Amino acid sequence: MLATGFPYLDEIIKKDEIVEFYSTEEDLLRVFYHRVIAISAPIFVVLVSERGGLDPYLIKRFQNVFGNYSEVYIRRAFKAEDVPETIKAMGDNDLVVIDPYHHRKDYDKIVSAIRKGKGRKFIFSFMDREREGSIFGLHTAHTVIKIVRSKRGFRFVIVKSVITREIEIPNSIWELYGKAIEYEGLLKYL
Amino acid sequence: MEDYVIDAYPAKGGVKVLLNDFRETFIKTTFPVYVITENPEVVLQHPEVKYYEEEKWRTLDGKEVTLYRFEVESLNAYYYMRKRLKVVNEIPTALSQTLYRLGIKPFYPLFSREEKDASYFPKIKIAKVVPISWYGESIDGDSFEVEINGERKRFYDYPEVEADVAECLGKGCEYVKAQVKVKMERKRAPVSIKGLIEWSMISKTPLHEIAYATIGKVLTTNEAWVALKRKVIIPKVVPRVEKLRRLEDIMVADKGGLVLFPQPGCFDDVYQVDFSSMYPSLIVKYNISAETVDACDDIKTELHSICLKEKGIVPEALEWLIKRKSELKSIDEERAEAIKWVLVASFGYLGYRNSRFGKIEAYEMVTYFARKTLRKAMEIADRMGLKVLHGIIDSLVVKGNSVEKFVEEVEKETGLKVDHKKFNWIIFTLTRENTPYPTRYIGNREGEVIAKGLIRENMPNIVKSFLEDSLKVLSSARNCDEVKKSAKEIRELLDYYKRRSLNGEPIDYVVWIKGVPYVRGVKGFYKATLGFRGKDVDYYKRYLERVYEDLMKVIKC
Repeated sequence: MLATGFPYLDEIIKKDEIVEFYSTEEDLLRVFYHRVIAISAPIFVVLVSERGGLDPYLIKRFQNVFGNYSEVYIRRAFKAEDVPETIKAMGDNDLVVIDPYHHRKDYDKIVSAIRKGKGRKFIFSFMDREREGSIFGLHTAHTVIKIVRSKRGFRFVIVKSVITREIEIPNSIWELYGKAIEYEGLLKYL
Repeated sequence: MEDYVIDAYPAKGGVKVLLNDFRETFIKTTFPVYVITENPEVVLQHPEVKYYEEEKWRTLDGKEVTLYRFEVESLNAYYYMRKRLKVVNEIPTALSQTLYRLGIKPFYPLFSREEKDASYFPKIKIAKVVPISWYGESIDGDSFEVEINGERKRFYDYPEVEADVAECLGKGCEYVKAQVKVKMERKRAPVSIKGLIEWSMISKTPLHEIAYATIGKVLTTNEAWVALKRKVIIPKVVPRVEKLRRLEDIMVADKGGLVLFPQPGCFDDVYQVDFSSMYPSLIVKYNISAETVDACDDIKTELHSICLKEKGIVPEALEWLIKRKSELKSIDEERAEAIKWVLVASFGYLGYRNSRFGKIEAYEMVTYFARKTLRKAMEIADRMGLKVLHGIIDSLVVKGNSVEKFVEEVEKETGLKVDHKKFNWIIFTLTRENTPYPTRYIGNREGEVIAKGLIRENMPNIVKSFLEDSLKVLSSARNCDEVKKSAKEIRELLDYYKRRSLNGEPIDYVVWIKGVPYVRGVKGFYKATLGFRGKDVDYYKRYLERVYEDLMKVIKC
């Protein structure tokens, strides 16, 4: 089941079918989607990238942190033309799509493929979605969340939501790595 | 006089063929354009479309497709059609396909149907004109280095060069008259003009279409010829869907070749055992191609399976290239090098997203078999009592007796061709962080010093000269003891170069960074193209000392 592991955020997006997270802070977003994949397992992932983009060992570490060892299924799409076909091939399963607009083209086909599947979808985009990317994709998403780095941590900025106005949720970096009150991170293995 | 085809251009109603000695001829013909359409009659309305024929082709997956081959009078019609219709088989280019149908092959005698072996090369005049400035090759130098069919001359006045094919840089192009001129500053391929001619010959593509192309185009064209002969459609873009993988599958499959950490130190009497064209040979041996991987279970591995029922397009295209390269090695080093580049790119292209005949699973299979093959060779070495000092992707450095037997055994068990060379001594070094350095070694092969990872392109000329002279000193060392003793001589060399850094020639201070020459002046780096404006002696001295310390660390390792 798709979840971010941040209870207040999960509460806001729990009924949304398509949720888009975006950030220009690549490191932050990268760690965040690895965490989401680990927490949401068993899960299907579509990775759009020419190279890299997914570190299986980081997912494994997050799986150790959160004690979720369920399967993660992956398909990689290397070029723009592969993206719609790959998303469609995932069927109606809950889906994490990483950087679907990476190639900055074929937006219509990609959004159409995202809308087609019946499962819930989390989209992670490295674009500044206020300035570029698929506008139709923004209309399609029920919730759009911007992730911003702050002085001592990071903030979720709810840019678009069905149930709430624009709010900001601050977090510490430790929480991203699961070292909050309810989890002790990898320390539990010591 | 024999008519050699130098180049060809499309024209209305035919092709203009450029021949040697500034001759040309016009051949009336039409150009083929392959289209997938429901309504071929409508296409006929274009005034330059002569007629069409229905043909049965198949996709890479084996599905039958009806294709219409339209014969057009000029390429304008083709450009018009490709904007509006689903045009396929665009590689090889329409011009190359037309020439092939006419029996015209670039750099072969006109209308020659006779098959020639690798030793064949046309008797044409090939020239290279490069202007030289005080800092080296330059687009507007005052003197010119001219090379005609391998013979070099230096001109301090304007040269007048006539050739069939010429490669020229900047101002040099103004003084050369040729049927085809290739501008060096626009070239994207790492090969010489002779290499480009070889590419044109093997890909049956006119020189002007290949001169500024990347290696990928040559490789894809070669593969496309195989597909075309088999009547397999070559689409513009091939959307691919990777098979569903688990996280663990990616962890196992997404790896490169095997690289060992070498044992640091100097070793006497060792052998370097190399698999010749390892990756292309593995592609051929295991029939690795987009359409054969995961098509059936003839070869089953923990990653994917391979089908052997039909020879893959990629293996078929590479097989003759491997053979041609090994034949050319003893005939023409420059042409062999050009083919080597194509073979080097062949593996990477399997995994390249825009590759028409590759897919990621095929790419993973190649690295998988490469790791297995090198491990197998290591096991054989172990069995035969040889010590493996280093291993990197396709080569091993071993120490011990009966290396010939080892090579024989490896060839027998792996089915790949293996070369071996003796090194009088070899040094493996440590990095500055004191970890082994897998990509750096210095070795003496029968008096010739081979140094990998030591001299970089972006070093100042004076530092490069110092390192080259140091290697010459090392070339006289017959064993590791003598290597250590050469430290004193290299120290003397350093002193000489430090003195030279004070009052050397301006060219000594030039550093080439990404094709731009710089000099380090007292206020920092400046472009050498602005003229020589002094040097920062301290910078060059410190650089020499740093490199010397590095070299000493290697020698004393």
